[in-house]
Parts: sequence; C-alpha cells; structure tokens
Amino acid sequence: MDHQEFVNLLPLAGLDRLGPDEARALHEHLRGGCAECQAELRAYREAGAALAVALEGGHEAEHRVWENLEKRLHANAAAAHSLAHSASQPAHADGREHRGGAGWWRGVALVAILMVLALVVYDRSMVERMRMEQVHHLGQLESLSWELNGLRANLKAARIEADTLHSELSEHARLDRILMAPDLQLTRLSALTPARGVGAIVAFSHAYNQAMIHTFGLPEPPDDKLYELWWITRQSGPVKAGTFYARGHRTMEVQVSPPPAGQRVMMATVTLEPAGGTSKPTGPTYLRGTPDLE
Amino acid sequence: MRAGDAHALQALSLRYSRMLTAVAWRFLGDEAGAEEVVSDVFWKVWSDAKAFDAAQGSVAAWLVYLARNRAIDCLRTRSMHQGEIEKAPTQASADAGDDLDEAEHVQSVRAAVATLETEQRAVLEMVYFSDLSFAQIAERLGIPAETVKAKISGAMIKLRQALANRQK
Repeated sequence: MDHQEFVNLLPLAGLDRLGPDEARALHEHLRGGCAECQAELRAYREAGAALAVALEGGHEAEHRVWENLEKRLHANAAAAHSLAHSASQPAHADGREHRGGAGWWRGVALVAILMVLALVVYDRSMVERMRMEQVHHLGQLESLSWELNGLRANLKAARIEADTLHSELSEHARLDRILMAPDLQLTRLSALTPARGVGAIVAFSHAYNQAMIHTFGLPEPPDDKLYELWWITRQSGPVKAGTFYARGHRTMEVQVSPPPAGQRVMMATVTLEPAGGTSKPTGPTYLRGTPDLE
Repeated sequence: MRAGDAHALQALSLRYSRMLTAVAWRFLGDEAGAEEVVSDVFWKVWSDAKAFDAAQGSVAAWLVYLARNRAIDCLRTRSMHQGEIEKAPTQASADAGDDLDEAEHVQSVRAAVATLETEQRAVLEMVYFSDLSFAQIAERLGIPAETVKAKISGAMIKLRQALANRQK
C-alpha cells in the first residue's frame, strides 16, 4: 500500500472499524514512524470521541459509578489486608505453634512440588507415548498408501485386460458371423519357410461385406513395423486389405477389408511393412496362401 | 492514577461517567448495564493506567474506546441485537455540568457534530454505537457496503475539520 492508501484508511481507523488486514497494515505503517499518519489518526480518534461527547444522557450516573468503584476499592483493600495479615502471623511465646504452622506450610509446599513433578513426568511420558503412536500410525498409513497404489495399478491392468478381452470377443463374434455367411470364402495362409504353428486364415463374405483374418504364431513385429494383408487379384494386383500387430505368437482375429467386388483373388499374402502401412507391398512376405476352392 | 491515588480515579470518573454511560447506553439500552460497563472501564483504567498513550489520543478518546469495546463485549455476551439507534432519554436541562470549561467544550463539540448532515450523523452513529457490520448497515440503509464506507469516511473528514476549526 502506498502512503495515500494509508491516509484513506485513517477515518475508519478513528472509529476502530478497519478490517483485520487493513488494521495490521496500518499498525505496521505507524510503527514504521509515519508522524503525519500518527497525528491524523489521533485527530480522527478525537472526532470519533466527539460523537460520544455530543451525546446526551447519563445524568446522575457519575455518583452511582463512583459508589460502585468505591466498593471495589474497599473490597480490594480488604483482600490485600487479609493476605498481608495471613502472611505475617505474630510468633507465640514458646514459638512452638509458630514453628508448627510454618512446618505445615512447608509440608503443603513439598506435597505441591511433588505433585507438580509427578504431573510433569506423567505428561512427558504421555507425550512420548503419543509420539510413538503417531510414528506407528504414520508407518501404517504409508504402508496402506503403498498397498492402495498397488491395488490401483492392479485395477488399471485388470481394466486394460478386460478391454482387450472385450475387443477380442467382439472380433470373435464378427468372425463367427462371417463363418455363417452363405458365400463364405476361406483363404489359408502359411509361412514361406516351414514354421510349425505359424499361419493365418482369412474369411470373407461379399454378402456381409466383411472380412476377418485369424492369425496364430506370428512373432511380434519391431516397434516401427506392422503386418499388412494383401489381396493379390488378377485385375489389380496387390490390393491393400488391412494392417495389424501380433502379440507374442498369440492367436489374433482382426477385421480387414474384403477383396474388391468383381475381382478374382489369386492369392493372399501378409508382409512386414513400416508403421502406418503402405499402398503396395515393400517388405518381406511372411505368409502366403490361395483361396480355397469355392 | 499510576501512583495509585484513589482521588485521581474519583476525579476521572466524576468527569467522564456521564459521557461514557451515554455511550454504553447506546449499545445496551439499559441504565444499570451501562453503569456497570462504565465501572468496569474505570476499574480497568485504575488497574492498568500505564496502558494510556497520549500520542494515540486524548484521555476522553481512550475512555470512549474502552467503553465501546466493553459495551460490545457485554452486548455479545447477552446476545442482544442492537440495531436501532435509540437516543438516550433527553433531560430537561442541557448537559452543562459543574465545570464551565467542560460545558463550553461539550457545546463546542456538539456544534461541530451539528455541522454534519443528518444522514452523515446517522451513519456515523450507527457505525460507532453499534456492533453492526458494514454489510448490515448497508442493508438497513439500502445502499452498497462500499457506499457506506465512503459516506463514513466523508463524514469523519468533515467532523474532523469542523473540530479543528472550532479549536482555532
């Protein structure tokens, strides 16, 4: 705040009506030694008090107020006198009772000190115990937090797996439908070099306009590559059918495009292409096959 | 008072009791409660006279400040809603007092206060003699809270100037 802003606060400060932040800021400003604002504030306080001075009323109150104060003064004086009197007991002739009295006070003081010490010791042991419990609870909390994180990770993995299974089920259902088609066409593909357990079956139906490839045993391609299925037709040569990944020699079912209508399929091949696929085969051929006789 | 002279306390209370009782009455609305507040104020002053700082204001201003705070505490304790500005019952005679100088001072201050417009004085008294927040005052007056603050500041500046002119 600049100086003018502090000056603007002074009228309300004179009425003791600043908010806590403003009051604090002004207090710091005055502590900083601003004589001008100090004088102004004093003047505004007087202005506020003037409202009180201008009030009427309170007649005869001064006598009653003074009577009240006198009573308090007397009560205060009496209490002080009583305390002074009890602290300065006159000694008896044989001194015995006085000494006994002093001894009684000493005993009380000693008991009080012992009680205070006992309380302090108890308090410290309680504090230590609570601290240990707190440490234990913190440890438990941390352990639970770890466990929770683990469960979250498991849940996430389970969700991913569930999504994958759902997807696979959908593809499987699609394949089943094609297999039931009246114009089902199957093409079996096998590896170029004999490889046990590696191959694919492509099923398509012009009636349903759908095609699926079911692969098995294909190795996982490098990160920047994927597999691509081609229809080799008499009329157009290689026609792009679709791309897919293989996951660690697992069986997979992937939807692909059926061959163009009216074109005779001579062969189907699967090649390894750059990620994103290509318009014509460029990579090595992994699988090849000819359609089953109709 | 700092020396523990009870006569000083008596002189102080006789001089300012009326004014402080009128202030407390504005908050509490009852005479006995107001006088009790005033007694508490003087007892506090008697117990802690060192707390007075002349650089911050006059004795009157300090006493009024203590009386307001004590009255507000009592008000909150009682959980009374003090909103209406109720004028203290006016007496048949003016508040002249025994001291002529004091009477002149009171008249001078009243004249300065009288320079305020009615609305300005009403807003100031509502702010000074109640525990209402600015928002509550604004609601009662039907104006925005920021306007209330501006009116109060304007009224205080005017009152301060009027008092300064009277002192010249």
